[in-house]
Amino acid sequence: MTHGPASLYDTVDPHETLSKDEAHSAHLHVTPYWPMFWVFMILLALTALTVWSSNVHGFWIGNTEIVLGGTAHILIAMTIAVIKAALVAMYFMHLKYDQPMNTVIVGATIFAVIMFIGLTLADSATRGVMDPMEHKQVVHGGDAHRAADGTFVKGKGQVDAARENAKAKETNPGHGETKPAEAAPSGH
Amino acid sequence: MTSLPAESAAMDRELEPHERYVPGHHWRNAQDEMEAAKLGMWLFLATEILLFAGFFCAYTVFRYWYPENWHAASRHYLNWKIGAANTVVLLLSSFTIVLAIRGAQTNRKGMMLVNLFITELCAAFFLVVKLGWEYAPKWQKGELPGGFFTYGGHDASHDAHAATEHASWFSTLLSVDHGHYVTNAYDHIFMSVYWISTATHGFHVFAGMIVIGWAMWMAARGHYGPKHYTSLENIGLYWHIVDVIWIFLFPLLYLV
Repeated sequence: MTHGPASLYDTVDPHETLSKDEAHSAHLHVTPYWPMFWVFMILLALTALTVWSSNVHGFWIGNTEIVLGGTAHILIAMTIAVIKAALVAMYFMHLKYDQPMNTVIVGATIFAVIMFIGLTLADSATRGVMDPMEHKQVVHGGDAHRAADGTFVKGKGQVDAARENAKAKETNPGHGETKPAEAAPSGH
Repeated sequence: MTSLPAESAAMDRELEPHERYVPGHHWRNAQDEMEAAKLGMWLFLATEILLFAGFFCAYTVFRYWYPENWHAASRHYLNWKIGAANTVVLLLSSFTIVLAIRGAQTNRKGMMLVNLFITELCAAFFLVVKLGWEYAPKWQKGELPGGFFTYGGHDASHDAHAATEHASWFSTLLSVDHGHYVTNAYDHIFMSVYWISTATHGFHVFAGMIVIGWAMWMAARGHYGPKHYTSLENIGLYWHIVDVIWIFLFPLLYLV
């Protein structure tokens, strides 16, 4: 049988570290009803907007047609998703009313996710650039280049290229080194 | 804490557990204790976000490699109406668990229990739709991840629907015109990302149902009130992060 804590001490603030106004309960902020309701309504509207926008493939401004491709659709959908997630985090998860440390954790997590996906994409997106070097199609210091049709032309090796440059300087001292970029039409 | 001097003898009812809650003796006050618990919860949520970031990373890389195929596969294999319905249900459940916490803060047990129950119903709806309307037909048609992918490009359910005039209003409502579709070499990769990310998310919804059920039991026994509702608060945070992850999964998998 337990009776009330009475007035011996305040159970939520036994060491009296808070003022009497603060100590009336464990929290300082009571979740309000109507702001939360409108956030919920905005979330539903944004869901409808993201569904609708995914079926819009273009529109006209005057006589100019704006075509929305796959990249535009991803950007629109992700922008809406980020806004929705921010609303949930700020209001439903009440980061807006919380200690800022919780927001710092979220910020650090978002940074880690951006590094994770960004660096992975930077790697996989540049494989086509790196592969010719891996496959010895391009030799460091040589004059390998990309032909007009996009294929790689294996050039002379570093030593041969250096010798030819030296020879060119001897026979034509007024000019500098021949540069591979000048010799080959750039297809890229 | 078992008993305190009964100076409050005027109070002739027995106090609810949340009314006689005392924070751990190493805390200055109940507010510090709750802030620390929430900080720990947010650290856990950070690991959850990083877990799903792995799936989003796989999605990004494969979408970058096979953009056209990815879009076509998304439109053919997934029904955006089912995804949208589940999105609305999860948003509603997030709102009701916010109201349940408001119920605890304002000491209204009925409001708390009703809203937790609605949240539980929404979670059940989500899982029933996911398993019954998505996973089961996909399993039958062989739209499975990676090496288990045996789908031949013939959409049996769509053809059957087109052949019969007896489609109910409900199946008409749910049907989406997939058009003519030829399976592509990378469809099984799309299905791998779809299955692993939605199944992991679905497991989180199931885990959420268990902890929300526990919260209902605690609420019914009077453990949550204005002075103390820490575990309800943290369960709410967990439920919202499940919602946030679905907010990203839905457009990425079903729409774009």
